[in-house]
Amino acid sequence: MSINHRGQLEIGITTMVLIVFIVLLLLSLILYFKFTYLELEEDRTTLLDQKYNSILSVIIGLPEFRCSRGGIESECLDAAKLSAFSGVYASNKEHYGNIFGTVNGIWVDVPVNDVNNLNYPDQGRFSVYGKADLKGGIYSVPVSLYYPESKKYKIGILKIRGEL
Amino acid sequence: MVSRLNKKGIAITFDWMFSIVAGVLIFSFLIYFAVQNTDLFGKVTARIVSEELDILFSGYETAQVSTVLDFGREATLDFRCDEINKRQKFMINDREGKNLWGKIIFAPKNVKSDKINVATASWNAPFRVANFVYLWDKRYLLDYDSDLELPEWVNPSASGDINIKFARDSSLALSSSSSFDCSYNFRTSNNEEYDKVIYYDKNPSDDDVRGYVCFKGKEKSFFYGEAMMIGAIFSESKIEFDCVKDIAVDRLKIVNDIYTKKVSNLIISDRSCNPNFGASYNNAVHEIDNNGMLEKDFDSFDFGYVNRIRSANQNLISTGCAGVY
Repeated sequence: MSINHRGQLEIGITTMVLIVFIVLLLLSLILYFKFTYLELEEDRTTLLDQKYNSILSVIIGLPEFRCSRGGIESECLDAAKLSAFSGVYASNKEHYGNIFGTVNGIWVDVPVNDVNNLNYPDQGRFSVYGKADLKGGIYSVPVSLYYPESKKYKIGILKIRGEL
Repeated sequence: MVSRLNKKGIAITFDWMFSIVAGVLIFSFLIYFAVQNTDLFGKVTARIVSEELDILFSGYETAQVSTVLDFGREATLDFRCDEINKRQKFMINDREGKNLWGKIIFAPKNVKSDKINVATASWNAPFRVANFVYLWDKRYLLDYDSDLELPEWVNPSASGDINIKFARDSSLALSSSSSFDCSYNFRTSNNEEYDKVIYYDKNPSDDDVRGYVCFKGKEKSFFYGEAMMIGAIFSESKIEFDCVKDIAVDRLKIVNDIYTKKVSNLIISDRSCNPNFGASYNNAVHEIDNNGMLEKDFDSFDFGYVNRIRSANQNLISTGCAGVY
């Protein structure tokens, strides 16, 4: 083989090596960003999961919903306050929107009452925030509901519909 | 000659295959390490920590706690209060931060330690409005008489980075904000000026307190309730304290609004109650008209007003009606 031909072959080989290297590098970068994005998505899902579970316990502890008698609180939700909350929420939307964040809906179902009954104290569903019929996973916990006028308790289910 | 060329071609092909496979393997190895260890200059970790701290603070605001946050290594938490928008924000390690929606935190502007103290106390006026969260890293030398009962976790040190004097002043019940003056002449045992002096008066009905905090520079700020007084211990300046206090007062208005609307439900549905007790129901919440205490300057919040609300509620309960709170 002549020197010129050998030189051309060497240039060709080097060029091929560079092209293959650049292709491999681009593929690696694509894979890296894809894996990083997936990991961040997983972290976000985990944090949202923790946040929604935290919101369940926060709601049970908020003075807006917690039941009490003579200033002494108990481990229950006050049905009269739940019924009254919608009026307060209407004038403090930004405040509660910031507290509840990306939650799609928060409500309390009372299984023994008719869900379509909107009249206190026979209300079957107390809507706290957002809407119950949107998409998203549901986080729920049973709660004790106290009706102060009759001094009676009922079982309720506090539900949150999350973003995911 | 032909076979020699074929062998050469095969050798080149094998070289290429080996180079590509080796290259892919090396790049895969590098990507794996990069994904595992990249933290975008610490921002991702700081963001995750700030989200987790926010969740932690949410839990604290509904429970009575006293604990220590152990970060394992020195961490810096910066707290800021926006007076215009009435919101608090914290930042971790000067990197990432979050708005503290719905939480009321009293803390120095800068808390820097590997172990940060956290505690909560309930603010009642007279019904529970919120749990205040306190964070601190410094030692506080608290000089107070035995008649003032502070929670155990306040832990007055024998020596402290910050010296605070508590002075009971019964004349506060008769004085107004405009007449109170922060001129005082208290000195520590080392003849140094106190960082703060807290004047307080006690409610004979429930031992709750109200009074004024005098910051350095003789700037005064009113407080009502032991929880707010404890918050004054950890606030570094009048501006920060007033900002957080305003957030607390807004919260009081919201909670009072709930009770006011609950009263409407009770008046209609409480069949065991004498209908003439409608007026008593309304006496058991803060007035909401323009002359009501909550609409006036918060500095005029006094024991008599709170005691009347408490008495009205207790009367309702003792006569068989549902209590408002």
